[in-house]
Amino acid sequence: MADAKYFTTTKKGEIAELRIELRSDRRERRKEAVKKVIASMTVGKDVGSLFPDVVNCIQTDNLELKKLVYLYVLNYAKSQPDLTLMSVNTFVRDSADLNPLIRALAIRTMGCIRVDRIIEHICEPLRKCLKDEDPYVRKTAAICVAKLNDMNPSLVEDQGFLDLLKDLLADPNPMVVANSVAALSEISDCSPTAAEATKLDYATISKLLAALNECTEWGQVFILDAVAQFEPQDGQEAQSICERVVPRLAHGNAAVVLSAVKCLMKYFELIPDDSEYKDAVLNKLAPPLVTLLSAEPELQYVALRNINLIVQRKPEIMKQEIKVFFVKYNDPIYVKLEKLDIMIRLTSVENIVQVLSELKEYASEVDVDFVRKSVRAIGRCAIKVDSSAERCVRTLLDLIQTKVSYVVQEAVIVIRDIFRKYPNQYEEVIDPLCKNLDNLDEPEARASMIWIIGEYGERIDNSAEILSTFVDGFQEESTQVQLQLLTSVVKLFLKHPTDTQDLVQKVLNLATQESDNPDLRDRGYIYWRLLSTDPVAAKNVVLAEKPLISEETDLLEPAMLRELLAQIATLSSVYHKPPNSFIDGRVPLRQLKNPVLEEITAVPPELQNEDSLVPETESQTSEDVQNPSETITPQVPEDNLLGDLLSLDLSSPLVLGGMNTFDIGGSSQRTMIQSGGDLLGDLGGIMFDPVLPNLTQTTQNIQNVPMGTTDVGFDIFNQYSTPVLNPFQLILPKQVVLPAAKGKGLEVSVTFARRNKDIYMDLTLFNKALLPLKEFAIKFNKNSFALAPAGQLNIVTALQPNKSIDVSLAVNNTNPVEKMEPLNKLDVAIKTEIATHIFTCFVPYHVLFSEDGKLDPKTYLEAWKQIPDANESVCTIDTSLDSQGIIARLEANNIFNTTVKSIEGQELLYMTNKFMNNLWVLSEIKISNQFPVTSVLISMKSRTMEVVPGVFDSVRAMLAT
Amino acid sequence: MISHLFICSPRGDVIAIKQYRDDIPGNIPELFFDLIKDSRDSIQPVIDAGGYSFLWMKKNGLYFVCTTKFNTSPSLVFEMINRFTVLLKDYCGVLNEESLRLNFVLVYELLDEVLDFGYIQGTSTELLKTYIYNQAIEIPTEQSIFDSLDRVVSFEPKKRIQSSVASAKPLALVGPVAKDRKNEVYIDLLERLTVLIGVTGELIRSEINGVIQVKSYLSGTAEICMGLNEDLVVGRPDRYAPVYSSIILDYCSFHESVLLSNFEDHKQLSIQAPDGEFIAMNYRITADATSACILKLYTLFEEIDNRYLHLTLRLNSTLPAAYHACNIIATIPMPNSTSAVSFEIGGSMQTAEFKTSKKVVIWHMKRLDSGGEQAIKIKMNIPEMNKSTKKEIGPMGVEFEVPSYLASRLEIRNLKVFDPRRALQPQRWVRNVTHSDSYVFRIAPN
Repeated sequence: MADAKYFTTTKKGEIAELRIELRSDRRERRKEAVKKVIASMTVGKDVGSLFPDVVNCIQTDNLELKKLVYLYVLNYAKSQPDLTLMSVNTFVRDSADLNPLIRALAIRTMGCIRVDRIIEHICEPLRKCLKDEDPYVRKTAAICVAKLNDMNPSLVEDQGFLDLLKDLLADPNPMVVANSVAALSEISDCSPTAAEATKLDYATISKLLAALNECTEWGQVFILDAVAQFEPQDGQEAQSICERVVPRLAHGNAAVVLSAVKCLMKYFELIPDDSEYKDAVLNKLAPPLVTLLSAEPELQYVALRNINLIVQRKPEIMKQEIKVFFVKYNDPIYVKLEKLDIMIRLTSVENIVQVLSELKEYASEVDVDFVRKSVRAIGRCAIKVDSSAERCVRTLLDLIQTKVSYVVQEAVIVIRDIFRKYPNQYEEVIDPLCKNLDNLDEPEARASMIWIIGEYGERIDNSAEILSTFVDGFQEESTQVQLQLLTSVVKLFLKHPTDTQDLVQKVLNLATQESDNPDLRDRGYIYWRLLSTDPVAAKNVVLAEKPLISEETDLLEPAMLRELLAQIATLSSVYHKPPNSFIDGRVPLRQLKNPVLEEITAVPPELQNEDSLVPETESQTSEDVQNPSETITPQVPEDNLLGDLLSLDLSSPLVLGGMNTFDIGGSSQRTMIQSGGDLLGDLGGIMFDPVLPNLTQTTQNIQNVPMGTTDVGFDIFNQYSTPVLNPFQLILPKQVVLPAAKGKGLEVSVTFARRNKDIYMDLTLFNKALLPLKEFAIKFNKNSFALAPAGQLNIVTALQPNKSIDVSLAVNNTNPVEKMEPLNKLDVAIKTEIATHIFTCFVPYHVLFSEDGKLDPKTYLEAWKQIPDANESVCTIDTSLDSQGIIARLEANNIFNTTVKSIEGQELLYMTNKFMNNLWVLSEIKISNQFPVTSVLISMKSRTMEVVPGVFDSVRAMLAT
Repeated sequence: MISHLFICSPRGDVIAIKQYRDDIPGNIPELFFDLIKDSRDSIQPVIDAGGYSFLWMKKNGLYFVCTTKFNTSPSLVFEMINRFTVLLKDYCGVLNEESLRLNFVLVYELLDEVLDFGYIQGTSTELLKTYIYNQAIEIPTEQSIFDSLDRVVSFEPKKRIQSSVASAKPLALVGPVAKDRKNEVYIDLLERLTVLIGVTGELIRSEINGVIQVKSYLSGTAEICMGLNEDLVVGRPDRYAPVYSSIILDYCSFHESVLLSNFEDHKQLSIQAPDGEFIAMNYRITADATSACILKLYTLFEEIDNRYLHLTLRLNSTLPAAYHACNIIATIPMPNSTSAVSFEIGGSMQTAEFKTSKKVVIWHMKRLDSGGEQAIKIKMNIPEMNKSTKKEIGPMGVEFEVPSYLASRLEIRNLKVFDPRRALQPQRWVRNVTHSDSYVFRIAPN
């Protein structure tokens, strides 16, 4: 008889009827009744009121009935914990039953009852079950420890369950071993202390590897994942682990294969380079990965996302296999897009012909997204393989002939990028492009076309005419197009001043008078001033030579790639995001090698500027901007900073990978589409002063814009998009450091602040003398933190008597180091035409904390351990803030929270901060549970104890309310 | 680790849901359906839902969805779903909504045993028999026909593992039926072809993916010994070096129950066969897969009056004698501006239709014998023809099945079952089938 009939009873009094049946003497009837109850439960009916009656049926020696009751109880344990607890004695009794199945069922069920009071009942049975003679019971009990840990971690430690669990790692039954490994991994991810307690040594890892063969496929995955977390001592250990893992690659289960790949990717790095074995391991990786591509599309997708990471690190592995990444017509779209991406990564001179002919085919498929990406891919090929550029351009021209709107638009965007790589070549495509203007209805394509016209205006006969038709519809265009149109018209005007005078006037009017968009307005004003003040300078600025783009822009940055490679076979490797960006709370750390940890625990760092964590971007643009004030002085119109910035208007950095612009979590690079616009938006805020259009003023102000040191687009973008002012950021009031009496009439007050990842010295200069002061210059003496002015004071005009001026000076750390007493003492010299004044100021510690001072719990713990206890100091700080308030205040000042733990009613905050010279300070803040909070206890550890008192002072200031 | 596992129908009705951890609140199935509702075709199988992830697969028209809050291995989850569906098939006979609803207690029992606290405990049919107490209810056989119809209607990718009708019975069934089939083992050799042929008939890509799939009703300790072609070669030192062998595999992988001690020398697989369905061996042939190219296409274009375009397609079979391809469905995209299409069909047992909405011609042939040819003339009416119109035609994808044939020429030369408890050799069924996976001809002139 079908179970389905249980679903059909819907008449009234059903519950009552069921109750009678549940109390029946006949076991068969009771069984049927329980089935009916479960059926009602699965369709969402509330049968909780039958709980006592159902549980009564548990007193039976019929296993089927018993299992049914447990099925019911398991479901209700979550929603009705109190009721479940009432029958806890039954479970305790069952956990000592003769039948192992019942023992296991009982322990499994108890683990799912999530009320605190269960704890007192569960510990004893669980302890017994962990030592049960039956493996089925032991493996269930192992998982139960993880369940208990989820409810009450400290209990698991106190009751010694961790040790019992570790004993099970040597169990003769592989299922038990696998579950213990799984449970231990979960527990170790929860807290730093647990991680330490559950750490595995090489001997255990060896045993686990030996057990691999006996395990089920799932057990193998648990074990391989645990092995991947182990840190071997030397290449020898790494190699022997590799040898044991390699046979797993031939497994039929994709999860086993990927976990094995993860282990190998980690360990082969540790094998010495000259070892032949290293190459052997590498060669073994490709075939199993390729085989994964014949599995279900879902598994293919996971494999492809992982391969995408691996080929960024080791492209040679897959070089021969490019054909397997050719798309099949029946692949789901997400597989197609991913294959395309990998194909481009593998493209080289040898296979470019084949790849291009594939791409051309793809461009005529039906799926719009796929077609677009294929066209973009052709552009990427052109930029990647120089010798193929010609062929790619020709292919693109063919595609333009199809007149399919989205193909043409995509082709235009791609051709713009090709021009940025190969300027002044392939100009023959401009003509056909101009014939397709009507097809362009997407902003990016229109903007690209306008850029091309502006750039190559002198080679297009009717360029002015074309632009003027665009200008006619100026108001309807999107901002992106408007900005581009403005720039292109100005470019054209500078090339052909005579016949475009009206046009440029019109556009400037439109941009400055008719538009509400500050970006547009400000860019308009800049051009206007430039053109009206100094056309030569304008030419130098607007038509400046642009840096060439390169193909590697779509690669993940190395630090990110390294982190993701350590995450192979996990969700992180599919999202291409680090785990903490999509998981909250529990953040398991599976890092290949931990550069931060090495840095913190290394011998006391020298005081020097070296930041190994942030890879330097070595593009020309960034170099130009690094020291803005060195390249720009108001008197020198040849500077090309502005030119560079303005020509960022499009495509910098190259946005070829458009569809899979990875959002790399927190503060990493973001792809900029409109950097120009944003930049100018910022400028506008500072210099909105249309009355006095004057080139010198303009450039000066640009100098005032705080410049990042890594990448123009990024930093400016960041500043624009994130609110700079955090109410909790500690900014001390300016202090007079040079009284007028000492400074021959010049009074200087100073404070320091951290803005946009840089330190700024904010000065107020007050001229109390009778003469105007001019020709200011500033210099720092050698100091503990290598601070040096990144530029000069921006005071151009003379400082009139009885006037003051506020100046902000960016500070970098390029000075020689000399240890000062106290550490934060800074000697500064200011020179004027009249005299040189030397004064001393003290740099507040908190401005020296850099933005990358966050640690994950595991690294924190290891670092804490490695710093000797002698280097710990403790201090009490008065504050009335709660933990959230404290974290908010500290994080606003770059002291970051790692974890929050609450133990015995106390809250423990683990915080870290990093000085810009790579000096780390770890702190633990204890907040007692007394209400209201009046003070907190802070212990700090650092390799260099000298800085600690200063950090205490800073924290005190931050927490003052 | 996995927080939920649920199965729901394409309409969004939950058939079974099991919550293993209570770290994700909310009505999960509803949230899931909201997510996939709008973008059924393009949404990825792994979805970041903000703080937790959905991992989902569609199997036999049903959604199998897992949630997790951890940085879990997604392939682990997908493989688990794969095995879980096999389990359901083994225990319930067929996998569809009705059979799951009929056997809901059994389904819950399985859900309980397969995962504990989100950790996979075991998915072997054999092992679970010890712990599963419910009996399956078979659904009437005509239902399974509906099942297969369902699949066609929903345009699902072809089920990659087709179980023979004879083995569509619950395996874990106790009782008279089960006794009848105690002594049987089914072995399927299935190959899928990926072939890409260029405009001039050149072979751009060919690949054979094969599996040896075993479904055993032997229960217990039986050992299956399978001898493959003795001149089988796995891998080659240099991919272009000639290897004198009839069959060269690029790579193969095996189920954990397969012992390979005799594989190197005698190409013998000995399988400690667990009960139920599993894939004993997976293999792939790329370098020398010209044998995968079993269909050839000849095309002829005729342009008339700048308004009509005639395309003649002649599909030839190069299969060895005695083999035939059947259920051949060719899909040919037409130019977007095509206003009407008519056909001239030159052979029996074929039909063709033009799907106006998608602008494709579906050409269906019942059968194509060895050395035979099927032909069609497609007459397109294209009001605005230009130079690139022709390029929009194609590529033509062909789906087909070749019964009793393996493109790789892999064979099971001998098959024995050793079972100390059995005097008689059990019934052994071996079936060979070759399918198209992606068999594509490019037809548009470049």
